[in-house]
Amino acid sequence: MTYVYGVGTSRFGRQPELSAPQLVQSAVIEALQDADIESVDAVFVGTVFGAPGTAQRALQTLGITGVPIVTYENACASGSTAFHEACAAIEAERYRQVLVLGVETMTAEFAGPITPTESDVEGRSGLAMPGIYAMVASRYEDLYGLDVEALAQISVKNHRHGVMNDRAQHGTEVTVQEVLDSRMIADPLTLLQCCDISDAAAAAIVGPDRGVERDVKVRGSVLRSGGLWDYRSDHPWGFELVRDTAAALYEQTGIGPEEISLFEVHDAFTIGELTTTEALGLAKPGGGGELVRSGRTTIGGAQPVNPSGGLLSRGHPLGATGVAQIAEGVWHLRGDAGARQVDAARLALVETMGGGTAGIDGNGCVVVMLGD
Amino acid sequence: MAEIALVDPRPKVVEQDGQHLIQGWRCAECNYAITQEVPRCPECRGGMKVSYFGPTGTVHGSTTIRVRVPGQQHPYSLAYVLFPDGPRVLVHTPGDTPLPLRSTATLTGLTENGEIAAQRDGERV
Repeated sequence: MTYVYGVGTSRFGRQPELSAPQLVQSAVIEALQDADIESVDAVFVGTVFGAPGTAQRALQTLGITGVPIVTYENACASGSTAFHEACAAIEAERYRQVLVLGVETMTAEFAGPITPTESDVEGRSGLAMPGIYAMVASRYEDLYGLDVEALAQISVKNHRHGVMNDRAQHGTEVTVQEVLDSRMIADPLTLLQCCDISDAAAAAIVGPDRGVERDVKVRGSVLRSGGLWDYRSDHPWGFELVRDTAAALYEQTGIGPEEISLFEVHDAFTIGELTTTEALGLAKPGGGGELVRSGRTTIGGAQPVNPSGGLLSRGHPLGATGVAQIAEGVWHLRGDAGARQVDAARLALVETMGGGTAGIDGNGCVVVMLGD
Repeated sequence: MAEIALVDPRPKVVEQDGQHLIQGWRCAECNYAITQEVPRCPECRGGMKVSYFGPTGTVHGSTTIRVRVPGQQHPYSLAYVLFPDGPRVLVHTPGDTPLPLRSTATLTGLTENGEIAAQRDGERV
């Protein structure tokens, strides 16, 4: 069984004045101190837009050299893919202590929305990421009807959670009306329903059981890539991938969604959280709107979703996101989450979904369960 | 500076008897339809043969993009159109309002930018 020994993150935000090495330094030093170790046997990295050698260039400033350093790219799920693979390496006894690192400096790459590569139909045709998720909302509307106020409520909830997270990019409260009145980006998604680009790093140290009570058990982890998403599917893009990955995790652990204390999920856009909560089994298909309206997924509710503020409030530096989600789960399970602490947290579930469409249901999805 | 060569991934539109059609492929074994040229069927590994789809399909999803995206003049509208017994194709549609879901739309050719174009021609089905 793999355990998380320590975690750390930089602050999240548009921080063009900070280099990737500087962001990595703050995350890795915090994680090493948290784990109470000085060195690692290997580094597994998630980054998407970083230049070749981004990780090695950053880690040499901390004297982390000589060990294997391997970079994974799996779109938004890059960091969690690195985490998944690091856990697999520990289970296989390839290494004793692995540093998982996620890093992204997005303000160096984008001035507007992320657009899939022009070698994809969607990217070449101008279907930027907000448009892809707007199409998800459109499909959802066709299947179940779309409650735009419930969508806005997801943004309200996650911004409220983010107020309690001093690392978050957008730590201010918003109202349903402000969300709905904010500038339309891609119908029906308004500005306050879209995550921001962000510069940040996040780190975690994993290894086998070392008998330290503070270490957090990795109960299970599943990584899948998307199947063909074509004319035979009526579902919104990504739904089947998340549903099937989560089902495999529930089978692997023997633990279902009803037993999970808190969820950190991929809410790059409000509709993403809505469909993901359904795919994870928190609500039946079509029931995600009522789920958020009920307060069940708010801190103080029975099963909070995105207590960190999620991507909507914390920000979404692609490679760092998955590792930051792991860090959030670890903090809650240890009782270290401060004002946003989920009461009696015993199990945390992290879900990250990556990719444009390009004929498949997503580049990759990772679902991880932490805790006892 | 020389431009970077990039194969255009968008489906090919052809004109036949005054109608615009998508030129795609269909599996000779399992009938799977696809708009990308592939060496064998991604579903059953069978052989593929050229097939034509359209010109009219059903709107399966739609939106209007209202932010700056490289290579596009915003606002612009897009839709996934589902062709009968055929693929789902991303098209540009006229105006700054998404096409209604389940309305019918017909291919009208290519825009000046080379985008596949379609317009609404029917009520919800």
